[in-house]
Parts: sequence; C-alpha cells; structure tokens
Amino acid sequence: MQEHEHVVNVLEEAKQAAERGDIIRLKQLSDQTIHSTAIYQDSDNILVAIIVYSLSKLLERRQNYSPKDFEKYFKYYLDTIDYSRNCINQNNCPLFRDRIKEMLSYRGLSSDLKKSVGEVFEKAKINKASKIYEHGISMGSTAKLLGISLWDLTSYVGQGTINDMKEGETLNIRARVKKALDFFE
Amino acid sequence: MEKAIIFDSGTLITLSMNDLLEMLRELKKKFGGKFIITKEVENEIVTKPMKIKRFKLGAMRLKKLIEDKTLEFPDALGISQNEISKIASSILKDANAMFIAQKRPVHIIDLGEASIMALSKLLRNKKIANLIAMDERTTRMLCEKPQNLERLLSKKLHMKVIQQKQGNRDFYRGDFIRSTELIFVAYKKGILPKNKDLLDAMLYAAKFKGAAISSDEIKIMERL
Repeated sequence: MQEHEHVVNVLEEAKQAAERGDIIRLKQLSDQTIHSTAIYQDSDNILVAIIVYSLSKLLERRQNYSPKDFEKYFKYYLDTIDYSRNCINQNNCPLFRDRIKEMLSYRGLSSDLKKSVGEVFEKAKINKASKIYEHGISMGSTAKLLGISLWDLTSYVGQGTINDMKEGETLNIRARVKKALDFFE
Repeated sequence: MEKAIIFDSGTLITLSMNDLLEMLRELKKKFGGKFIITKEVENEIVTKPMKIKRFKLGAMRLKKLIEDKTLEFPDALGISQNEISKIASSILKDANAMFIAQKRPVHIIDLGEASIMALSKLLRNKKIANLIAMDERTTRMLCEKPQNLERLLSKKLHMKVIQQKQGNRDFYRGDFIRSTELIFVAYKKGILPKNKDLLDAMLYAAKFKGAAISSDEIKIMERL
C-alpha cells in the first residue's frame, strides 16, 4: 500500500470522527486519500476511501435502521477499522482486504440493513470514482480502477460541477460547432 | 472523400440515457459516412451493461444500432482489430508517461480511449476524414490542450505535476465533438423540432448525463 502512514492516520481519525458522529469530517477524511489514489491508483488506498465514506453514509442513515441492529454493526465496523490499521501497519494488505469482504457479508444483520450496506458501498465507489475523474484521470481508467460501470459513472459525474471547470474548455465552442456542422455537409 | 465519426462509450451512453438514439439514426442517414465503434467500446456499451439490470434496456437499444448497422466496426473501413491494438498500446504507453507527480507517471487514460485515438490515426493514414465523438474530458484535454490537464492535475492533487514530454504527435491531431454538438447538428439539420426550449432542454440533459460541457459553452451554442 502507498503512503501507509497517512492511511493509518486517516483510519485512526475516522474512528474518532465516527464515535463523535461527525459525518462531515468523515467525508473530508475520505477525500484525503483521493490525491494519493489518483497518483498511485492503488486499490487498497481506494478501499480505505470507500470504507470511510460508507461509514459517513451509514451514520447519516442510522435513523432508518433498528437501533439494536445498527449499534451491533457499528461496533463491528469500528473494530474492523482497528483491525485494518493493524494489518496496514504490518504491511499485510491481503488480510485487510479479506476483513473488508467479511464486513460486507456480515452475518446476523437484518435484511434491511444488509441491503443498505451493500447499496452504500456501491454508491461510495461511484462517489470516489467521480472524485478521481475530477482530479483529471479519464473515465475509462477511473471506472476500471473502481470496478464500476461507465453507465454509473457517466450519469453521476454529470450531476456535479466537474464539467463547469474552466480547464475543460479546450477549444472555442464556435470552432467546435463549426467543425461538427461542416463535417455533416 | 470517405468520412467517419468514431464514437466513445460515454457519448453513446449519454444519448441512450436521454432517449436520443433515434436522433442518432437520423443523423447517420444524413451523414454520408460511417459511424464507427471499436470492440472495446462495444464491450462497455453492450456486453457489460447487459448483465446489469438497470442498464440492460439501454444496452439493448444500443445493440439494435449495431444490428441495423447505424454503428459499424472498423473492419467496415478495412481496419483490423490487430492494427488498432498495436497502435493503441503505444499511445497508451506514451499518454500514461506524459505527466509526472511525485517522481512517478500518472496513469491518465485507459485502453478504450487509446483505441479510439489509434483508430483515428489509422483512418487518417487511409485518408479517411474523421471526428471523435467523446463526452469525457480527460482524453480531449490531453489531445487539445495538455497544458490545461497539467494545470488541473496540479490544482487537484495539490502538488506540482510536470508534463514530462511533448507526447505522441498523434495525440494532437484528433478532432473532437461531444453528444451536445451532435444534438446541435440534428437541430440545425431539422431532425429535431425548431424549438429553442427543446434544444436547451436537450443540451442540458446531455450535460447532466455526463457530457463534459460547461453552462457557458451551452449558452454560446444556443445563440449560434
């Protein structure tokens, strides 16, 4: 894993933020790993960004779940963060990946929460993909990196302000339109 | 003179999501050339989404465009997949070595995008005029204004990103349009009703489904 010290710090801070219920901080922390993700395109860095962002979304939706069910899963989630920090510290990324897989298929969850966890993780992937695209990595590369469909990414990206960035205007629009019209003559 | 438009996945996805594939069929009839996709693009717009329920209908509609030959493959212009693959890997290698951050190259584009640039080069070699229809901005920036991509990467990564070399000359020779320009052409050609409100709605629908166009550009386009 790249920048593992930074990742361990992010996880540590994420746990504290989750205990305080600080959803905004969790989202900020998740974005902190995006810079290195865009450069190194390391799947473990991405996974960290996804689990931190998913945690913020689960906290945001906690009212929708039975409190007993949620508290049980929340505790397991925080234990997983501790466990992940240890794995990363020991440079044992396969163990970290296995634990995240296990967390996603955690037994004993109500069907509602189980479905929601899966949904939150999928949406977190798309959200992180859009951030990486925003950083200047192409859609094809980003979709491949996150293992998502271009259909998901395309529609999500359009809803934000990415396409209004001045850097994206690379040719005068009149010239581009003329080129298109002339080509159809 | 023969001519072709090479379509990237994003443009076709945008048009499919906005129910504008019939417009594309009509544009093809007026075009007098070929609309081409690579195998990599077919994989993204048909093969993969066929397995995802929420995109299956869109994929089936696009498949129909292939079946009725609105969209064709490069062999229709005498270009083999082998030729494309060979040039695409060289373009991919060059593109992904162009920008350096923290002493390492940043992986900018993927094989699908490189295959489109490769096909464009092969068509030029055959003296077939071509445009690339691509809604995503990174590849377009790389080809049309790499200094903007360098600036964007530096700004977003909060570090100095350096354009290490000028890059493959083939990058700078592709001409790009987006789904929004196709909508505009269809409007001007009378394929779409002459209704400014409808044009505005369609251009923004394309933008919100992923076409990398700014609101300022749309405003200018609507005045043309």
